Amino acid sequence: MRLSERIYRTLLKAYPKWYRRQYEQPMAQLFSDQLRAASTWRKLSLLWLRTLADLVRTLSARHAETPRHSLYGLENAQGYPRVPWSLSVRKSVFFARYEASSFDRKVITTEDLLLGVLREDVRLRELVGGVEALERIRSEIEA
Amino acid sequence: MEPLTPAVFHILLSLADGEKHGYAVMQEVEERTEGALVMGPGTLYGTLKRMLEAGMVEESGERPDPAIDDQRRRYYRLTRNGHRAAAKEAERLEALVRAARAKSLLRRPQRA
Repeated sequence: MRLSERIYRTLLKAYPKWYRRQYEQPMAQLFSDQLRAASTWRKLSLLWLRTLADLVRTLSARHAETPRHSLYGLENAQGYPRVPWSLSVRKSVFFARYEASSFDRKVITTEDLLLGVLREDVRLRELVGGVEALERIRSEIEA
Repeated sequence: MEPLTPAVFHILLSLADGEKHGYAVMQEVEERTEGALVMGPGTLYGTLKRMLEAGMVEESGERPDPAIDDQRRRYYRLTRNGHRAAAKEAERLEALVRAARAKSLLRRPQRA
């Protein structure tokens, strides 16, 4: 890979992740095509001048379009929004983990999640019959 | 409908006669404008992104361009919406040219 291509690929890292995910590859390829046509030092210098101007002009626009979840770092490794869990959900998962270990399981199953939610959410538990219902579900799972 | 930006109209014009990849679009625009409009990768793909979102163009797959090399390229083509937008913009520009002619700013086209 030519030095110019390497430099351009490094500069592309300045664009937001969500944009790079879609356009990093075609942009790098377009620049490589332009490089191939820049056969003299003069043409190469002109290409770099234009490319840098293009980069400066478009960087701020792409960052301005960045979705809010990315601005606050609420995205996963793939750049998709990472929606934070509420306290109630975290508690439900905590109880689900407790249920899984009480059944001597190494993974949390949907039954554990159901029990976890019923332990955390009092109103929901009352809807299905209170603590007695919870114990009935537990014994049915055990059976 | 609001007038299209020069970059959008030129991309629509390039794709009017068939699908093309980014470099082919960029080359055609540069040739047509005699170097007055040179789109860098950031401008071209930023504009294409907006046009994709507006439903003016669509991706038509990835494959190599036998005329350049064997690297896979992303091709774009006009949608019905894009075709309509390009035609409307061309009509708008034609009306402007007619108005300029009416005020003797332009010479009438010579008949062959």
